[in-house]
Amino acid sequence: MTHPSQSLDEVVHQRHRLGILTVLAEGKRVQFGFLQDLLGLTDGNLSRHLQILEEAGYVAIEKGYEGKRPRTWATITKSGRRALDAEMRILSELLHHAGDQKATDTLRPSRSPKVLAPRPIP
Amino acid sequence: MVPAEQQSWADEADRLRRRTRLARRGYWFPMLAFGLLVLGCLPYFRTRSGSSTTMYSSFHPALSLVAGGNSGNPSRLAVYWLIGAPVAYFLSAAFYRFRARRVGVSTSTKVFVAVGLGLLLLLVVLSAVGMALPGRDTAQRGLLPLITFGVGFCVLAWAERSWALGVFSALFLGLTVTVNVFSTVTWVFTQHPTWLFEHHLGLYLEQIDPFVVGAVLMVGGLLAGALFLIRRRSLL
Repeated sequence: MTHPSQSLDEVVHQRHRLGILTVLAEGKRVQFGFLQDLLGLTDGNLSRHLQILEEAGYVAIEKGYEGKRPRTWATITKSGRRALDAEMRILSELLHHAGDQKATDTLRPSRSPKVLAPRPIP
Repeated sequence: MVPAEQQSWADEADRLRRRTRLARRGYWFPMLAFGLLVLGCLPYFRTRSGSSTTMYSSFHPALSLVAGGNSGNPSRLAVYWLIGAPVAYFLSAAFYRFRARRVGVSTSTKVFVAVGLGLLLLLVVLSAVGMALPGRDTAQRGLLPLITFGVGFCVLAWAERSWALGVFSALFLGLTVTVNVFSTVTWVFTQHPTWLFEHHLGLYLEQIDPFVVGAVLMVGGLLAGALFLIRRRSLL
């Protein structure tokens, strides 16, 4: 049986990218500014993460205007949704795994304390 | 990756999901819009003679499933539903679009609008081909469009991913089906046959069923709106 961590997708298995995909999965289209505020990332940082996700085919980026204001919208793709589901499933398995490990450790008798043998009474 | 880190990632994802949903949600608006639409139909349910079962010559059979035959003013009621419902769907979609621009995250309302208007259109088509429902007297009082609104709200709950709206919509759908098969006027008439005439109740009793449906939507919309404000202030 393989450990769940062996099937992790390195693109999604990063805190901010996981956050981006989670937010995108909740809406039809999400504005760059909304992601930035929610995740607390800088312009450059968020752009870099979005670029990585776009290159992996997990996110589609759309640029346009709302009135005179330039806007960037991000949308999660089908494969992005699948990757997010897989990552969340693996995270949950890892947590279960860790929980089981903890339970086993608790049940396993720890190093037995040294018990001094009673001295024979002379 | 240590378990504490995994837990913190999972918690963070959960927090982001909840905050995004809270920012995106706006179902209080369609609830209020459709509540007003339903309450606005009440004048069409005021019978002229005081008898709830009067059939008027203005009744158009091609719209029987939309307007019914027993309501006070069937043809006008059909026009009211056929204009009012698309307006309510359009306003709801426009509200979601406006909200998406303001907040930065959008909800897809295409399925909600398509299912709602599609079902209304289906009623028109079925009327035109002369389909009649069983239990015609109770099931055809011009309240069938309410069922299409109920189904529409179930679809909206799915689009919004909201359990609260899902439960409300299921109960609301049940209510709309109930008012189509159970008539308060008929019930009062069977219990106290003379009341309708002695107290001139017949003039207003037809309005009770649509009033209850509209009031439930309005109260639900107001409560949901207030709840959103409180939760948004506490979370954002």
